[in-house]
Amino acid sequence: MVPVSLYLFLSVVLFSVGVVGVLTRKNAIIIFMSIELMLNAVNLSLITFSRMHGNLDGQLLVFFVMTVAAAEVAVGLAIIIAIFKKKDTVNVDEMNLMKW
Amino acid sequence: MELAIFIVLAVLAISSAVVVITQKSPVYSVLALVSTFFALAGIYVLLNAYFLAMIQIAVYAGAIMVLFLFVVMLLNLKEQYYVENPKKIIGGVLGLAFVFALLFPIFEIEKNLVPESQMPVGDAYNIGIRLFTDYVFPFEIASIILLIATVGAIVFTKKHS
Repeated sequence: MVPVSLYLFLSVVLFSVGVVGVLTRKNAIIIFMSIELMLNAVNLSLITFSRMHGNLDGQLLVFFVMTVAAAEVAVGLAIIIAIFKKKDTVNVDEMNLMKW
Repeated sequence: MELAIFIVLAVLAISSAVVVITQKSPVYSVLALVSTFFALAGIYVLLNAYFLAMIQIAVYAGAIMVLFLFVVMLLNLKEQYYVENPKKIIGGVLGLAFVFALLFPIFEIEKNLVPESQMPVGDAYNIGIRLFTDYVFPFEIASIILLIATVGAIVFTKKHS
C-alpha cells in the first residue's frame, strides 16, 4: 500500500509547480492553467485525506471544487477573450487598468 | 505493484506539469496539462475514488481543456511569446522553498490509509446517495453557480452595440 505521505508529496510538488507558473509566466492563459494545476493538487490531497479517514466527505468536497473550477474557467476565459479584443494581447504586464 | 503504478503516474504527472509552465507555445501547455489530468485520474483510481476519476477525465480533461484549446486557437497568439521575466530564478527558488516548507509536516503524519474494507468505495452509488441526501443544498447552489457562470461568460464576450 502506498503511504499517505507519498500522495501528499505529489500534491505538494504539483501545487508548487503551479505557484512557480503563476509567478514566472506572463501569458494570462498559462497563468490560468497553473491555477487549474493548483486546484488539482488540492483535490488530490482532499481525496487522500478522505481515504485516510475512511469517509466520503472529502470526495464530495472535490466534486464541488470541480464544479466551481468549471464555472471559473468559463468566466475567466471569457474575461481573457474580452481583454484580448480590447488590447490585442494577453500579456499580464499590459493589463494595468486597475493599477493604482 | 500498487507502488510501482503510483510512481509511474506521479512521474508522468509531475513531468507534464513542469512542461505546462516551461513551454513557450500555449498549445503544448494545454496538451501537457491534459496528460497531467489523466495521470491524476489514475491516482484517484488508486485511492478508490472511481467516480471522481471518471469526472476528472470527463470534466477536466474533456470539457475544460477543450475550452482552453478553443481559446488558445481562437486568440491566435502568434508573436505573443513574450520576453519572459528575467527574474524567473526567483520564482523557481520560491517554489522550491514552498516544497521544503510543506515537506516537514507531511512526513510527520503517522496515520496511514485505512484498510480497504473500512472505506466506502467512492463510486457513483455511494457518492450519489450522499450528494442527494446530506449535500442536497450545496448541490443546488452548485447548479445556480453554473447557471450564473454561463450567463456571465455570454455577457462578457457579447458585442456591445
